Amino acid sequence: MLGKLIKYDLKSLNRFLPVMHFFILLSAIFIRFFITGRIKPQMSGGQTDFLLMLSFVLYFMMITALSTGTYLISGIRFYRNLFSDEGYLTKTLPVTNGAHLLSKTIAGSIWAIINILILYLCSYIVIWTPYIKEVATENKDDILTEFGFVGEYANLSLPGMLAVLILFSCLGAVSSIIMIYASVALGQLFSNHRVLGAVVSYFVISTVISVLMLAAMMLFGHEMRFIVTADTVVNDFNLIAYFIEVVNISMVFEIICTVILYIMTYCIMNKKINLI
Amino acid sequence: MNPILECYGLTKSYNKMYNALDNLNLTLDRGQIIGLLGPNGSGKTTFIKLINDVLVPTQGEIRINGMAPGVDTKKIVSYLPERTYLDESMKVKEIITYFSDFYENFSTERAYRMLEDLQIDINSRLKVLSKGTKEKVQLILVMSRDADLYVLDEPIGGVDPAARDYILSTILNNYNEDAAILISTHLIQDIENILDRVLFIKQGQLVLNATVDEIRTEQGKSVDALFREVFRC
Repeated sequence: MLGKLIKYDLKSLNRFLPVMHFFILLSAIFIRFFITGRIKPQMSGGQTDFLLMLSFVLYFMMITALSTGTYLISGIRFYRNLFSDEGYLTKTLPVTNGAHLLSKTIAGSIWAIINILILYLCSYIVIWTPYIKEVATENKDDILTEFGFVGEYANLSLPGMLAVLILFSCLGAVSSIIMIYASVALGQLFSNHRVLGAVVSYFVISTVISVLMLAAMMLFGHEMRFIVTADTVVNDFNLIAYFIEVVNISMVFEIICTVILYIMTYCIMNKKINLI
Repeated sequence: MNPILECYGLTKSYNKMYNALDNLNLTLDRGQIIGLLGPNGSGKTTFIKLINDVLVPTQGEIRINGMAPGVDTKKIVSYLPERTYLDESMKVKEIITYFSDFYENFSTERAYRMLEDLQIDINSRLKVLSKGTKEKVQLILVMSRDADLYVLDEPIGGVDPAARDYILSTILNNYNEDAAILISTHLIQDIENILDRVLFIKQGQLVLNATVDEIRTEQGKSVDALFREVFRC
């Protein structure tokens, strides 16, 4: 039954998300050919800065819209399929609540991960122009030093670090999907304002997690010490070392929070849901 | 064989002030068509939702074929809610596939035959169908299952009288003596002739549980006349 549920959950998400992602991919190619691809070594600093700024703003808007859209559509499908009128069919299928939650988590996560991979692909298309590649190759040693690939970190490979970053992002994507589902499930406990309850729950959960995360970072002595102000210049800061520390702590923290939210969602779906 | 439905002290309250269903005790056997009758807000739909596990009881318990509502009872209960519960972007034939994927006792052949009888295009998307046609599609889906208990909440409310006759004959033709049908409706006159038993619910409590024959012989009234008398405003 789980396989069938996943098939139908993916089918309902596939109605919107492939089109959105295809459009974003096309937009990235457009930006590459008409903006970033036109940056040439002989161009003056002002022109280059303008094109870079324009492409950065466009790209930022694109990825924000795409990510928000992906998570929003997954959350809306979760809500509509389980807790609106459609829930009267979904809830009366001979399937456990656990299977419903798992199926929707798998389907939502698949699209959240595809979203992340497409965002990285778009970044590659937009940024990695022949000119940028040439500049990066010429200044490879300086860039690696600047990023902190020195001393004990000199042997780390950049592709390896990128792979860790992508894996970390994918974990974050799955975690975001579960956080949205948990918010929607919590919203059902506000019997007269279920959608508003879900929105409020989302902001409360994300705030609590952020605060706890910050506390955990401070506890382990990894507060935001990369911030350099006029008064505090940090000379011994190593970006890659900081990145490894942050990723390690965040990954453990994120896994714990995600498991807690998943179990909470399951319990609410099992014991507290009243369709009205 | 177990009774198809048992309720013990079944209570559901949506807030602390008011019980939509209040201490309902009931046993229903198979092989009957049962009318669940009562005025608006009497608790009929709440009772039906509790049978189908879309509401959690506040107190008491409910048993279907001796089991608490769950995966096993959903295999044998075919439920028609009073609202459109299908994904409206799906085509009729996709919904048929959906039902046959999830319900082992769903007869695709029977569903297609009934759709053809009612001249419903299987390639139409649900959102382009009229409200009445959507209701017919839902009823066809529900009655195409070989269930032990059919629970129909207002099955004929939104359809024309001609289709109503077809639906009622469909209900009669598609159930067997090992099954039971529980129908909630306001259109008592239309369904009175097919009912074996009626349950009157008033303010969440069962006020009458009798066969139609008992009502006719002992009270000398039709079910419709008795309903108007009991629930006179």
